[in-house]
Amino acid sequence: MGDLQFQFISVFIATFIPLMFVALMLGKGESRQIILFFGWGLFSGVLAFHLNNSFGAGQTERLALSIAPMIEEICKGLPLLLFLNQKKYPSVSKLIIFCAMASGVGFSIQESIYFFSLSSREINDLLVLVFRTLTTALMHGMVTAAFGIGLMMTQQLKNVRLPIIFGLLAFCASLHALFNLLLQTNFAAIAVVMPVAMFAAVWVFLGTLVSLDSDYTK
Amino acid sequence: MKRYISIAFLPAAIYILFSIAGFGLSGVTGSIVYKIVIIVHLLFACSLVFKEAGNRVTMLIGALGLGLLAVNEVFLFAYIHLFNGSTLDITVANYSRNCAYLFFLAALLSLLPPALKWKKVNQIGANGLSAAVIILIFYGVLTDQANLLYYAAITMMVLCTASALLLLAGKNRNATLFAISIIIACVLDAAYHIFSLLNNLNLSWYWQDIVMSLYPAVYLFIGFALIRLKEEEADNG
Repeated sequence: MGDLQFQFISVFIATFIPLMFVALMLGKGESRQIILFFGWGLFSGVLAFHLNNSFGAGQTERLALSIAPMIEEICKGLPLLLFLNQKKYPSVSKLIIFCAMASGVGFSIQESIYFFSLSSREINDLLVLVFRTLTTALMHGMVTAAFGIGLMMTQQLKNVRLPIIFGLLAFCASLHALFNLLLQTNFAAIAVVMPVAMFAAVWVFLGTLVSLDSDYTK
Repeated sequence: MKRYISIAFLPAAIYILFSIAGFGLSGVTGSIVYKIVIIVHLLFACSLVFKEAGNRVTMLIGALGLGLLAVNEVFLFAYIHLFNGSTLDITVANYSRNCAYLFFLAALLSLLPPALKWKKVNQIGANGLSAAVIILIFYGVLTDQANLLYYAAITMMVLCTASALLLLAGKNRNATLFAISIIIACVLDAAYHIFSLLNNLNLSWYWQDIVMSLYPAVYLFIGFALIRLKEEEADNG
């Protein structure tokens, strides 16, 4: 097992197992689901790392702009499809978004640790880490949240769910790829603003939803 | 109706100016002007449909399709003009462009009349086939296979056109208008992909440029047709 592979798996195990104990203690309800999705996000980091290496080895540019966004968005969003079978669907609308965001944030933690492990460990790298956490971590969370919002829309159209789900995954992958691309140009400032704008949009959207969370926890 | 025509005037005017200025130029599809014009049209059509959609899911799905096309064009603009990439490179844009048609396909299927014979079979068939084609496109982008992408994309356009044709026989005039707009877009896209395949044999880019220059008008038409769906619902109500 290589160093990076070992690091990915060790971070996942060291975080995931204690989280499972917390999830057990929380019992049924929103909090447990959010913790479980966060755990999935950590696992999806490991999964995406392996898939990215399989398809994009030695192609740095293509990996960042095409391969990684497509693979990572699918890995992060996959367990959200479980919500489609829930009978209490209308009452878990907000929960989908929270769980999606938790999965994205869990993934970004793995990714940030990976990038930080490659740095030269100087003081400037800490600033880069802070900056990266504020932008990329938020982007991962928000893009997956956008997938969650899209899934909510499919509840009225059960017969055409499949095309919409694939379309939403492509939407998320495109936003992710655009973010990665802009970071490599002179217009990186736009990339920095992107996740913040998405956060504001999701925040406003959450405000418009009728809160039925109490019904769900009953 | 007058309101929509007046709102549509600005991008239509930009389009006409663009057509006059750019149509005679070779390589127009790669130019900054073309990309900006197409992004303006897509964002305009998308925002207008979102604004008018409210809780109407079919319109929202259509707007998502236009939105994905807009994000796709912004990505291509940044990739070609800011990052110095090539139009020939296979990127996530090849995947997401076809996925935008999935949204249109979903909107078309949701508009199928309830009394349509074999409706369920059509829906399951279109769902399954579109998923298979998109997985092929996904694989084509991951493994950098241009020809596989073109063939899969042409299949996708045929699938969308077939679904749209089912709506033409119905009595819902606005749904028919939307179906026509999607057929035109699919025919243009299929033509573009066929010319792309021919270009691999070192033929001229000229025909591909002509096809591409028609896209802004088609996107406006799709947006307009989606908004008309709301009027139909209001009339029925």
